[in-house]
Amino acid sequence: MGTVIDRVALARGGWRNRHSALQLAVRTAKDCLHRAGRDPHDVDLLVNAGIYRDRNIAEPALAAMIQQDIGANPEDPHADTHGTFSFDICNGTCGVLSALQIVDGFLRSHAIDCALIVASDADPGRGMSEHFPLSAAGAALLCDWTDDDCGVERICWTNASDEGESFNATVGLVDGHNVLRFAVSDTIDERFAAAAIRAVDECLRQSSLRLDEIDVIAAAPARPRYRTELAARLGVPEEQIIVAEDESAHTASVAAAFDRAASRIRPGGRVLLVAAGAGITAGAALYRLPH
Amino acid sequence: MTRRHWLVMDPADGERSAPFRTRLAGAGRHLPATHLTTTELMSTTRHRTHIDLERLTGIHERRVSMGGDEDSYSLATSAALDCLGKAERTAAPIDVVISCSITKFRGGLTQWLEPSMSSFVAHAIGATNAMTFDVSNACAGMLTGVTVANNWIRQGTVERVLVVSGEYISQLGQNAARHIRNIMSKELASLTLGDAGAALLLERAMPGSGGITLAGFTTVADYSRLCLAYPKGDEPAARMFTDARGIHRAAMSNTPLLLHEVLEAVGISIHDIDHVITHQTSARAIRKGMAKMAAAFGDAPRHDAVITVDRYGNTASTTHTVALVEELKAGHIRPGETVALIALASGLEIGIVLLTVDNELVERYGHSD
Repeated sequence: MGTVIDRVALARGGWRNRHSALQLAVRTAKDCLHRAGRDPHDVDLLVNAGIYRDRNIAEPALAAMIQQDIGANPEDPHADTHGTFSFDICNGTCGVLSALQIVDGFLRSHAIDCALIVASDADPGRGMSEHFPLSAAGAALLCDWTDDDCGVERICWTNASDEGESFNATVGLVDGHNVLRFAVSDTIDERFAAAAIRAVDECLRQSSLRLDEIDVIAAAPARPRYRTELAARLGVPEEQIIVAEDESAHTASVAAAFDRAASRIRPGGRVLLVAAGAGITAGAALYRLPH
Repeated sequence: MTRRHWLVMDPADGERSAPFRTRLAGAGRHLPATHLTTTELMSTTRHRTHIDLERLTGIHERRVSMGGDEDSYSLATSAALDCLGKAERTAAPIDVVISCSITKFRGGLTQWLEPSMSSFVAHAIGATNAMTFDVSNACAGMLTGVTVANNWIRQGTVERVLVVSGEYISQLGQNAARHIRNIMSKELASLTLGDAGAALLLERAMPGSGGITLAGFTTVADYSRLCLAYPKGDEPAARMFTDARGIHRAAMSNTPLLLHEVLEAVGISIHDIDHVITHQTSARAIRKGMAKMAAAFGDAPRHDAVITVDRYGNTASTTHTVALVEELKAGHIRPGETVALIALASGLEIGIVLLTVDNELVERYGHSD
């Protein structure tokens, strides 16, 4: 029994939507539903884990706008059918993993039948950001429940507080204008990898599994040095750690890594999904592909 | 199988049994010391507005952080410590910290998008083993966090969750004061805002004990663009643009059906609700809304809706907890009584959390059965 990722859709920003996380999210969500052969009406829960967005908007949740734009039960409530609940979560590169855990809870309790996780980031542009270091990228994951022996098995977390020293992003007045700025330390990859390893160890320990019982490792972010560090600390060849193709993807990178990794193994195989992000917070999840 | 209720909600007890129940172990808040009256705020408007805001909203004053001496982070941290103190719990065993504020100001008016505010708060209070992430859902943030926490606790995934929020949001009111010309202004709602921190500690309890009976939520997304807040131009923090009438109209027409769903799911009538705490935007709007609800149901909750907006203004995602603590301190809520927390927020988010408080909690505020 578990939450199954039924379909993953990915998108890169083009010239039309490179400054709109909302448009990227909507496009990816529609694509995901279309490819899964599902109707927007089916979505009970929509969780958006993207962070960098149009106008650096703080309210409402971007998820509500995505819900409206994809047409997932946006109308006034009426009797004898279901609506959609939408909200945002923020947890840096780990956001999709947090969203997956939230979705898993509601699917497990049968509060919902179908959930859509969306994650997109884009440079808000128009003087609202400075040296934006991330790609315009989006991802959507359609999740439902299975009674078979597959899906999300376990998610574990670790924190190693560095008060944002490795990576932080803030919006504040600079020369009289509100600007989104980033700070990245030289040691980010080593620190992220160290936190990720602790999450992996805990996840494997709690599952009574060894690393050689895992079929594939999917990791985020896709930063090359982080991947090298992770491989060295896990004692596996670098090419065994699958990351997103786009090394500057942010919240979408977990979904992109998962999608690539899942396509490389047989049905019933086990994916170890590991993510590290600002905080430092790191999560590791075990996921078994459906047969 | 098509679901036949509009709200996303866990099956009620008896329908599909969950191994545990969620108990409210503590509720804490922190209010800045500085009082800002509506008269004082309106005297700072750049234009002669001819608006009697106090008559319009019932807000006499709100608490504000002066010159950034307190920010979202410090308000949240102080509230979390107050909550733990009330619950007589330490931070170390907390499994999850969820920060739910709209504002994430730390170090003055600098909004932190990463790391999460929850990781800062968890570190500050010593919840070093806690999983952390932020929920962002406008003024429904805290009740959204409660809904997620309740789902996990009921199923045994985690034992103890701290839902926290610090809203240093009064700067939006100061910004609005520079732009508002008349009563039709889209920034009028910004003048109702006040600062506050709030925290709720939720923990595992056995079935049959008091606690959260049901938590249900929906997003009526056709109204998602009726209230937008974002940093704009050269003003600190952000500005907020609201179609307050549109939101009020949509909320009023949709809430009765959703409340009916909740009551039906748990098998009680509206008269079985002892206290109603709605989102605090305006005393007039709350009274009008409750009158409409009473007309729709032909009955009413046992007590009038709780109003704290007159003293604290609209403190965004913290309003329900600020009001709940007020009522507990005043001894208005007795053990075993049912409280309905109703979220109405930009999105349009509508959520209802039904909970009963136990004797242990009530005693913490100096009262007992």
